[in-house]
Amino acid sequence: MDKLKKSVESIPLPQDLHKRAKMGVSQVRKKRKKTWLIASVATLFLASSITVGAAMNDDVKNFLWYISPDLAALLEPIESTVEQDGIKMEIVSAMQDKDMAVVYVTMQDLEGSRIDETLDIYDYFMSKGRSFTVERIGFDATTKTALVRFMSFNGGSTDNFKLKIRSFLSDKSVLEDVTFPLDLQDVKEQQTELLPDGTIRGGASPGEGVYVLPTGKLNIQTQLYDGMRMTNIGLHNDKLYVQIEWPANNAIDHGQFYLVNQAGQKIHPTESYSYGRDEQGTPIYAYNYEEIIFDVKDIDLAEYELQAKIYTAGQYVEGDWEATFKLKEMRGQSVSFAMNFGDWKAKELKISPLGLTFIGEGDATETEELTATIVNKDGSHKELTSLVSLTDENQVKLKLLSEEPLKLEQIKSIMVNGIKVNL
Amino acid sequence: MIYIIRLIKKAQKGNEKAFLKLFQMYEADIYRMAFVYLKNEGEALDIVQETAYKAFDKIESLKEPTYIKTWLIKIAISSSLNRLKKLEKIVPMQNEYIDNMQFEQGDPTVKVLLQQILEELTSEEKGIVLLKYYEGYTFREIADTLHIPLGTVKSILYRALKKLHVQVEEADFYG
Repeated sequence: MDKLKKSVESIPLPQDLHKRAKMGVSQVRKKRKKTWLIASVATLFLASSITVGAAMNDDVKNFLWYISPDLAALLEPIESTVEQDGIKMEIVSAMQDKDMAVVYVTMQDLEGSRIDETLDIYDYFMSKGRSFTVERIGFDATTKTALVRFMSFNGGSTDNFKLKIRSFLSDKSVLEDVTFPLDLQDVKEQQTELLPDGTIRGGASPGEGVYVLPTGKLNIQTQLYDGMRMTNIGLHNDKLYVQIEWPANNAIDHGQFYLVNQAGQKIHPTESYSYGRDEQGTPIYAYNYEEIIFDVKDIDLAEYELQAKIYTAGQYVEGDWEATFKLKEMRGQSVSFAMNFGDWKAKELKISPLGLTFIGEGDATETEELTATIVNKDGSHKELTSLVSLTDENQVKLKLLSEEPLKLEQIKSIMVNGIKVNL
Repeated sequence: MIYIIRLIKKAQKGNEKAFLKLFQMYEADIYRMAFVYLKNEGEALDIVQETAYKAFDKIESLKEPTYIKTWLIKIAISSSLNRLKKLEKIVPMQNEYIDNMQFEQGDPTVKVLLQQILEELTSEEKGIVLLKYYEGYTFREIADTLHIPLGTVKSILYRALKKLHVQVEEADFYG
């Protein structure tokens, strides 16, 4: 039987085996750190070589025409559709260059109203890439269809790409100026206690001692939102501690707390910790409690009140919408380029329909100001300002994404931070 | 084991490095098991990534640290079977994989046996053969892992070994 073991052991291990494990872990990180992003104005970009496909779902086609005639005219649907529990996911376009992949997906609710204009893809998986982002870029109320753009960076070139959506949020809302009914001037001094190691889920660095108020018996709720309650509030060493209890089974709703005076001046917390307590109030590893700490030295609390901005989601839908498809290769060109940015020097510039990639050496971690203007042969201009860092150890790689397709054959020159680069 | 338990506790508190150190001990096994099911490097790597994702996401639910390996293998097997179901629906499986694989020089019968395992066994048989002879599980452990009655595990294994023309020794089989 040793031979059976040897035969399985003879399967060679690929070089990127551990890297793939890291990618899995980084996707959890992304999910856990997910913040609420309200999608900005819809921006779409697709490469010029894509053509119309006749078999595309009419609803989707009409919707794309509505959002962007340019996009709809260029689309070649992949015709990869998956439906589960009345929610249909369709891959409408997918492309890649050397640095990134872009996938356009429609999500449609065939039975109800679970897809709306606040759709937020909460938990998803992409088989290639080291960092990921997703945003909803359009919604059509008639067909209950949302258009979503996924981007994956540093995945290397690949034939088959797998995208899986595991859960999404919708019916999201933001409650402004949620006020707690209490006078801050009545808040008393209290002792704090050290949270045991291993009970904090967010906000603290390893080895850092975190002090919070003891479990309180207050039960202060707000009129606007009853999903949380204040259980304690106290002063200690010129700091105001606020203890909030959230439902143990709801990790979605959350809030931003602040002190505000009549003039509208706000004081934001200096620290905030998410941790857990059991029914007896003993600290445990969970996320049903939050301690928000304000520095109130020299502040007259009588002039301020405690408010919060609460983010809620009425729908949290889980499922398994998965598709495997091919990415269309977007070819680009390399341009001789040298520019000194201080901490780093660029030595190469690559142009693809998806954007510009700057390659160089040095430390580009502080780089924020890198913009480019594409000057076309017909005299039109296009600004590129959306910067993504793909830097890997010693090699600097920064990508300026294009919001619309770059037609390489029409580019005359590029202005980088105001300096002209001829092609 | 104390080291592993320490890593698990750190991972349960969200420590990625600890989880990756832990996962690294088992990733080769996970990859090879997934490969046996899916017969494709890219797909097997996807399973490794998915297993790491699911395991790190749910590691808080691992109550008994000594079962970490069994737990990871369960995730990998279930992910592989799910993937297999989907692949069988949409694309014919590739068969040229084994000719392209870079084997180290050694006993040529090993390669032949591997090809038999990949080609001739059903998914159910593969799982049992892998757990028994690659992971060294007892029949009871296999039954618990795959949720199959003990007697069924033995009969499926017996059938699989016959397919592979492997001599079944009673001491080995019933031991």
